[in-house]
Amino acid sequence: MITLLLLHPALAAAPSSGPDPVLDAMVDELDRVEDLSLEGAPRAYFASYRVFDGDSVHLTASLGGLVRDDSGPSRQGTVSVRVGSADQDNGNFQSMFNSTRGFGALELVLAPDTLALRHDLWLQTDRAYKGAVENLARKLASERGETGVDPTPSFVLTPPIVAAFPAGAAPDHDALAALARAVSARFLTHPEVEASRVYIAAGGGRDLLVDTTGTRLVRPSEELDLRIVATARAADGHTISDHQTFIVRNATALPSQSRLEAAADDLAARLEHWRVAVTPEAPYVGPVIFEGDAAVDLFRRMLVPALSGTPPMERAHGGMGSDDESPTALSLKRRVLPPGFSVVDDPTAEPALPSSYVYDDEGVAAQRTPLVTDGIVRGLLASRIPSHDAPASNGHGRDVSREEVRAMPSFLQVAVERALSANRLYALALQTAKDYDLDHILVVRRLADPSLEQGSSRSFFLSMMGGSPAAELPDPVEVVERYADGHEVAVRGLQWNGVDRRILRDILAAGASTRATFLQPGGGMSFGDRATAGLPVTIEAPSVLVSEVELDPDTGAVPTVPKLPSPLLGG
Amino acid sequence: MRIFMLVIAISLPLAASAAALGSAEDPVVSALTGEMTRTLASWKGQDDAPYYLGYRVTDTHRIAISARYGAIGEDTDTRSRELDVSARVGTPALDSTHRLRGEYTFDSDDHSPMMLSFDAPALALRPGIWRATNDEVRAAEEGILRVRANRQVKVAETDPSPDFSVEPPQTSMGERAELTIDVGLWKPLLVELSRQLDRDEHIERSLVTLDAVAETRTFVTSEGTQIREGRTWYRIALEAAATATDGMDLDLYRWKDVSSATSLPSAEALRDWADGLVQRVLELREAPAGDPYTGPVLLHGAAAGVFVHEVMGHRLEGQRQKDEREGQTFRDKVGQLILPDFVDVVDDPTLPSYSGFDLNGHYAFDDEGQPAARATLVDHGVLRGFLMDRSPIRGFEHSNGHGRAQEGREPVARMANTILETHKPTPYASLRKQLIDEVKRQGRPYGLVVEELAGGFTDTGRQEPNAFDILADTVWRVYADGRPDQLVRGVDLVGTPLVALSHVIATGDDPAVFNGFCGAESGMVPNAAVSPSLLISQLELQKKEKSQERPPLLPKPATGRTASVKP
Repeated sequence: MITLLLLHPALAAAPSSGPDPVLDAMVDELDRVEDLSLEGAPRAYFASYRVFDGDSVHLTASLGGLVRDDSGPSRQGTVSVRVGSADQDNGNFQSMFNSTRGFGALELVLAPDTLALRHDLWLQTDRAYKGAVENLARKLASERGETGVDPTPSFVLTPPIVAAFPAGAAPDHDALAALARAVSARFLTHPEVEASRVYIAAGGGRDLLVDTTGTRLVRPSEELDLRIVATARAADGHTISDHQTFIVRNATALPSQSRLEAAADDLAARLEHWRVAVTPEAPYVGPVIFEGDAAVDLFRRMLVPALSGTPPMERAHGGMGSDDESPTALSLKRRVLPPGFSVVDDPTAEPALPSSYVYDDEGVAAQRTPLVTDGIVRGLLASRIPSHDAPASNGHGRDVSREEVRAMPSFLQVAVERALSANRLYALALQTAKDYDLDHILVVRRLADPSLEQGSSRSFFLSMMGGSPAAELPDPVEVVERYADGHEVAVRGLQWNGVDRRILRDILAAGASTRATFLQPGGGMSFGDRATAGLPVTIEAPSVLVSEVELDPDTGAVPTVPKLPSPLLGG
Repeated sequence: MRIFMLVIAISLPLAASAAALGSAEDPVVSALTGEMTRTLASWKGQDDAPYYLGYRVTDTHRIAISARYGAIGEDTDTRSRELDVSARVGTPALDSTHRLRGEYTFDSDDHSPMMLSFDAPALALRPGIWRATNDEVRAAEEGILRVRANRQVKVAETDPSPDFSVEPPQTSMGERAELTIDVGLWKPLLVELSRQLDRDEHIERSLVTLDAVAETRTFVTSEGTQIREGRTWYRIALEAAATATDGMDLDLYRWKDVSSATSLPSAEALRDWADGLVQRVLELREAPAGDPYTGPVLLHGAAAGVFVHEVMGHRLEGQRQKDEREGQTFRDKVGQLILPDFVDVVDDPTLPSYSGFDLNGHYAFDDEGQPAARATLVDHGVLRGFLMDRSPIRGFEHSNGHGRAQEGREPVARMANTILETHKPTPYASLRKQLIDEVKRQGRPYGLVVEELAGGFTDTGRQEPNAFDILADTVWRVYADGRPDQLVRGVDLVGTPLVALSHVIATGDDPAVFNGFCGAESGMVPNAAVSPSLLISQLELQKKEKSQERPPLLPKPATGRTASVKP
């Protein structure tokens, strides 16, 4: 629980100098935004600065040694300027110049020097203002002649927040480096693993937000992402990649070194198990149970994108820029889950969670938000960019990329009125399987992380930076055929055929819940100031039985098996 | 499109250090040798076994510190170890690297290097080497099949030279490079200089950077080559930028590259640089924009070296002489006069310095493990040879130690230290007088003196105009009627190579060094271009692209805490 509230002179907008050069610089330069003007152009009616001020550690280790060490102090921020009025401004409109921000994240000087910091902010603010003026003109031009333009305002002004919390602790570089080496060294004893990496991304410090309404907010910033990634090869040449992820606030919340080493051993053992699994020859159509992490991933991929009330970013007609792949939110009163299911998001429910916060990235107090009741959508996650069904922020505005803030979950809890035991869920599934002339069902326990293909650091990085499609269901990596007598046969190489959000309505029953924390990538490049380049999101969801799912065997090209065995085998 | 450029700043630095015999127990060499031996043994006796395997491991330790507006802006200290594997299947006469004709293979030489641990024992390095070797050998096995098919269906090649030259193995285990710089002593000076650069209200952006790089390259090949070479490189650089009223971004950069920290400029010299840089940016801000021009041009100082690099150097790179997509400007001109007879051009990576200036392109062994050698390119104006890697061309069967690449790229022949020397040195004052005489002779109101450059680029292919563009920063009009010289801004030198070279009419006695980085198909490599001032009777200048942005709307912050400035 966060109880300490500090007041800095700048927080109270007092005109005296203070001992916080970063906050002073932000406030001083923000004070000048009202002076920005171009003849005949609208002035800024709102501007904000957000700065991460702390230390970050980025490590990659392999087989006991470091491959990458990019660590040190970090001070990055974004400048957001809105011109026009809250009813219609330059925001949420994508053209060559992004909507409200200058050119994305800004690297600020590291030294605690107010004048130098102001210099950086001055130039970025100038660019952001000019870009905002142009963007508003483009937006108005684009909307001219359109019928049915949404009358929803562009932005919601909220009362200012003045608060400061203690900074998060800086990550201990040397301790984390030693940990990465030690955990990665476990794979020296697992020669069947072709490639392995241990990634650690950690950050600790302050997250400062000031805006022209008077918000002066200093939040703690503390997150740590440790991933163990490994790839093995089956006898037929297919590679199998899997990972073990730990997303926590800081190192004290990590499992002990011996447990992490054991997790590496478990990962290797899991790969060895799946390496010898059989590949089905025929497609499967029938009931599927999503269990544990796979169930959480199912809700993450299929449900979360539908609950963001932030409207998709508009784009100029014929304009350049990436396609907006933001999925459209569900409308209120729509059925998204079977009766008996409810969904709530509450960023404040468990402060120890890495995804928890008190104020969101727009300076709005986080609120518990009921989203689904008895399977019907009753609310949406909302940011300060309103939509018809999410007209006011409920404290879920989060920086998903350099370009935009979207309403995102923090701690999403999917609950069901009546949960079955695992055995009853299996029994019900096997009963359903008879309708398909099947003597077994499929139980999916883990889905692939598309970013981990071949254990490639590049693909991993791309995914972490938002490259993986959030609204598609990754193929299963851990699947068993389960028979009526309880025995299970491991299978691999299956791919979903035609799974989309409607799968949620085909849920027949639910079982025990699992909780997991992910890094949710945004629609584009993730906001640069996050050590972990993704938003921590915790989801708690039950195992579910889906009445009918189709999976096909992978018929893709099979890679060539290396001519030589791994040198770790002593060949 | 193949555009090759010489720029000042890029993230791949090298320089010189002594090579002495080191430990034979190098874990990198041990790991590379182990995997190479295992690989060759497993393919032995098989069809299309690799006849050559080469490994290049690059260890880099980089420190980068910058300051701006009176504060430290960046402070990083990073290390990396990158592996490049080269596998050849076939025979030296025709192997898997042979250029496929009729296929567009832009950047096909671009592989991601395998990142290896920089602090793990040899055993931990081997799985990465194993995977990279397997991938390269498999790719070479596929490659030779495509090469053979391609050769069957295409017309005979103009130059049927072999794909790979046979060279004796090299052994030289130099010491690993280590950085010897006390960054704690430098930081206060960087801060001071950044404050000095920022002092004028019109200087919008400024930066002082100190880069220090220690790089150790290790080569192991199946021919028996084992080389380890360490180099260190340091750069201090000052940058200041302002915006002219028409929106032109005026960004000047002054720098010095050295191979030893002790050779960096003194604090006093750097303070003078900072003053001079600010003054020049402010002068340019007030200077008129230049006009398109053709006529006499005097390339002064380092500007002449860049001209030589762009106009001639890239066109003398060996592999371009047999690649039929290339313009091959000079391929058939060996033995012919291509420059005035008082001019020589060499490329000599063995030189660590020239006229007291360290040279960026110095090394003992190139990136194919071949000993660096002085290549005579032009002798008394007559073309004598080319820059050679291990890809022979007609009449030039062997490497002269110019195979170069950045990590992740296959080496090709590249410039290192390209030096134009003159047998007819003319004092600068006389050269300037000749410029004015030439202006009068041509009946023009003024000639131009080009002093400072930001770099340049050129295109050598057949699909595009064989033109060059040299990015001028400081250009002076020198009037024939004796008016004072006038500074102009916003013009670049452009032209085509044969015309430009045919108009060189005089050379100075003032060789100057341009240290930078050159980008081409094998990536960015460090280079030096050396030349005395060159008087060219006819060159063309075109308007430089310029920004359309207004200067900042508000004055820059003046104090640590200011009241808002009201109009």
